[in-house]
Amino acid sequence: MNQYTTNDTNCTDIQALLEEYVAGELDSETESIITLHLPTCDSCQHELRLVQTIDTVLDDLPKPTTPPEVLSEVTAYVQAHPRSSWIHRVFQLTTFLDFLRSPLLRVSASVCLVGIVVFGVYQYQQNVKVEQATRDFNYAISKMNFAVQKTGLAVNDSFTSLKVDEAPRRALKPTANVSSAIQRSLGIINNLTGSDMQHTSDTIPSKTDE
Amino acid sequence: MTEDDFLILVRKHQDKVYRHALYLLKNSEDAKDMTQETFIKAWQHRTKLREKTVHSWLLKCVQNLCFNQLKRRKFQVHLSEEEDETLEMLLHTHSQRSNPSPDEITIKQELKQLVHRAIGELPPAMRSIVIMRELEEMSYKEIAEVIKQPENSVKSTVFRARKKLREILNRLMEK
Repeated sequence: MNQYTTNDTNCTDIQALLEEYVAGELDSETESIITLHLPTCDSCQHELRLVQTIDTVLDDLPKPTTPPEVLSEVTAYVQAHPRSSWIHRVFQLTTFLDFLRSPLLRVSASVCLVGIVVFGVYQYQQNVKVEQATRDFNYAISKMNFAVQKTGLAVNDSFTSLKVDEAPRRALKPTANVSSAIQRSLGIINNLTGSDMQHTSDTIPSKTDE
Repeated sequence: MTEDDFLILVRKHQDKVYRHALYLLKNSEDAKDMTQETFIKAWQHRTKLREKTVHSWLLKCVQNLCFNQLKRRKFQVHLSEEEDETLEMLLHTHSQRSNPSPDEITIKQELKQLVHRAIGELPPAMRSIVIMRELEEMSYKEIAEVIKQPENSVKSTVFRARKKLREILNRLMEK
């Protein structure tokens, strides 16, 4: 048994706070109560000495150094396992996720991600527009080819029913009309697509050229 | 991290890791094994290590390894004489360094041994916090990072551990 006895509940409360008292962690009022109480109480003084002893001994605990064989063993292991295995590469991914724990980096990564998504959507929309324009252009070309074919047939039919002496005179007029219609159509397509179609028009044979 | 960088890191932190293991396990051979295992694990997880957090990572790792070791061996609160030998020898040599009188040496030695035994009787988690706070002089914040608990909780555990030490010391002195 402890040779000192606790006088009353006040002592129990005070003794429970002695570590904080020695560490200076108490508020000034409690600290002054304990300071006034201590000289009058042997039991609390004994406990205070124990607290101070523990404090002193803990401050002066030996700090042993590592035996040299630990470093040599670790060095040997490191030299024997120098390269990253697949599992380490997996850990590199988790390291990247750890890296994103920083709020600033998280915000930056989010902004980059949103930017990439917006750019992707914009590119997709542009691609859809180009595809639509290509389809329209092909449709217009096919229509025009059809018109040229029909006109050519009509002209040929007319030529067959013409008299020989009328042919040159009558042939020039519809041919010129067809040719100007094609030129107008190409002009409209040029305006629509913004591309230079002049070379295309040059390839279409006309009767006048002949 | 290159091999050279890692070995610099080992040299820098090995004493703290070893001391933590030694004070937790109270056996130099086991402490050596746990220190080696900690650094081997650190090498295996080197891509995860960061300069800022490597210290707390290593301490957390050695702490876990030691707790597992204590569980594996069904470590009792009262340690065997054989397990106590290493630290007792250290305590003995440590008290002779300051060149005091023979009586002082004896008293100091006895007190240290009693406090040391009292530390050994603390629950492992509490002992680990006391080692970090008193031996390694780590701040409450640093300890909180290692054990992943709030700073206030660490602080109250330190004071509870000291009160527990006083209780044990009282009991040991009465014997």
